[in-house]
Amino acid sequence: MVWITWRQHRAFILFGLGLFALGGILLFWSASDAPRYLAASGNGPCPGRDCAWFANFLQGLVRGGAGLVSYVGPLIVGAVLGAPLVAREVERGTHRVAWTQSVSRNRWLWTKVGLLGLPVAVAGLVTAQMVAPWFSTVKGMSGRPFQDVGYFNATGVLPVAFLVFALIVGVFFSAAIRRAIPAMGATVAVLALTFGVLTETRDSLMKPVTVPGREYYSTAGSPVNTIWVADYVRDAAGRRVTNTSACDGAAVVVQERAATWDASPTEECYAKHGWQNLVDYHPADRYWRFQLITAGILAGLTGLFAVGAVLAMRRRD
Amino acid sequence: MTSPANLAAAPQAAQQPAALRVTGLGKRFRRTWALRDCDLVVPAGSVTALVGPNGAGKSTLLQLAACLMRPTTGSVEIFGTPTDAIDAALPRIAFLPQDKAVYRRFTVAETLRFGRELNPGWDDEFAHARVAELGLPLDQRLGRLSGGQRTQVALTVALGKRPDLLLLDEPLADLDPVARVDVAASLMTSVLETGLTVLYSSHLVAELARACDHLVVLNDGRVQLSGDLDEVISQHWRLTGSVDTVDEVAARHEVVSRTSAGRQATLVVRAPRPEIGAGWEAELLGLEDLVIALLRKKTEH
Repeated sequence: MVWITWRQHRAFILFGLGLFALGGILLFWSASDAPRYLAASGNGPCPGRDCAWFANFLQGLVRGGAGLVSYVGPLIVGAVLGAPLVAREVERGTHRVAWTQSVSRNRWLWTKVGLLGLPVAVAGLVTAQMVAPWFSTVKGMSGRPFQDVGYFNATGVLPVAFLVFALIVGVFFSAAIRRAIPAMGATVAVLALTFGVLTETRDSLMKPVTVPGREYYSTAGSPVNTIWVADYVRDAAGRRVTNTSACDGAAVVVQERAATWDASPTEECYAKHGWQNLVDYHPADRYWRFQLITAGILAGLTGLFAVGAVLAMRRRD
Repeated sequence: MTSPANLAAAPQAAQQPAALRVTGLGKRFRRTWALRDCDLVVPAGSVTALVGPNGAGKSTLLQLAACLMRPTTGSVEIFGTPTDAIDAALPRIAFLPQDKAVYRRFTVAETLRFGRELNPGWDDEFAHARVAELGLPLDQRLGRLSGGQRTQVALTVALGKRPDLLLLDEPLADLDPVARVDVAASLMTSVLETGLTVLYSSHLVAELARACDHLVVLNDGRVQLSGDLDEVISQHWRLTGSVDTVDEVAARHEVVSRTSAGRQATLVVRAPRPEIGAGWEAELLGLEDLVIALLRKKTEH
């Protein structure tokens, strides 16, 4: 089976390796080049381009890179590797050959899935290990790593969970629909839906911690590794203040300069009204809990789709 | 509706090991039944032809025997093992599908390796010897071989598995006449060497007589007749005589078909020896006429 799996899927395996190598080179290049470039240009005028554009470009690269790793990789694995796995055999009639040898169809399928899933999982692990140092190199330009879902999904154990989930979803639709193009469509739809829901609901996986804004913004370093959920104002009775226009004239909130926060005219104005600025957030040490909760949800879904695929394969008609 | 004639004597059939035993078999696709109420025994060691027009259910029956389909009703057993026990049944059968589906990008050598990897009982020496004997180039992709060569490679994989029951769905269809003779001859040689049981379907009646020793006639999803070829042939007669006495003669026999032209009536009957009176003639039907008579009978219903 090892040879058969290699023989039938070597094109995808080589394509995947190529893509992987390309991604690695891009990460390495951007990580090593971007700081050097910034250092060379300093805070002075960026050569040839205006600085805002360049900063946006780097932001985009960071977000795009993370998004590519965490979403496009699984989409490719699910749609190009998983979805045709059974369907293409049925479309070409070769399932009548493959499934009438001495190996039952489910053993045939899961041996293949195992042999293909293993390198896919390893690719996920390596991806996480590549993205983490890359991000820490360029994070000065990027904002909040735990906060950024794209980055979050591209590190830790999540690349593995996403990739394996995508493969099994593809296999399920392949076995259930048995036509490659519809199976691809269904796979992409389910993956997009899952990723969307997980991304949208991630911040509410746990109850956030609430602290005064002053405390949150002045804790050196913490804003970088937290998930910021909400920033709002409450009055002395604990009611949400929706209209803070009374303090609009005071000054712009200078959130980034922690040292000057206490002296901020806005804060003084709030104190006069008996209001308090509060922030809901998830502290940095929740990173692994969030990772494991998300991975657990994905693993559970993976299990469901795998059971569905086993049952779909048993169907003989 | 007459019950299908099973000419093999019942006690004998029970003792004889059955390569394939089909009991009360039915297969429904959505609303239409492809097979219904089929009872059938393919004796071990026989070469059995499965005959019937297109759409009779031949392919369905073969795919049910090849564990590719599950019966809607009844059961299919391979040497006593139900096809539901797929791990036990699969190693005993080999199947050549009608479209001779192969991995067209595989070379001949790779196709043989495919067979080796998936079959513990694979006979690599035999497979390579057969391919060499047929002069098939090992490094040629299957997609670039001729239809006859491709069938030969597929057949080699089927035989190399060393099955006990070989299931062939229209193995000679879509081959040119020369390839047809070659494939049939090399298949029969392999069958004689190994003594395996063969069940093959065909809608070409003329080809049958030389190759098979058992016959199953399938029409409209039902078994019309099954049994030893010689017995089948020796028990089907064409009786011709006057229309005045045809009712009298017909009453004494199991009538397969009945036609008349002018004053002359023709009956096809099933009987060890026909009982006819004066003015009537009896002759044995040939295989071809018999199959045609059986298939026509169905359409008259």
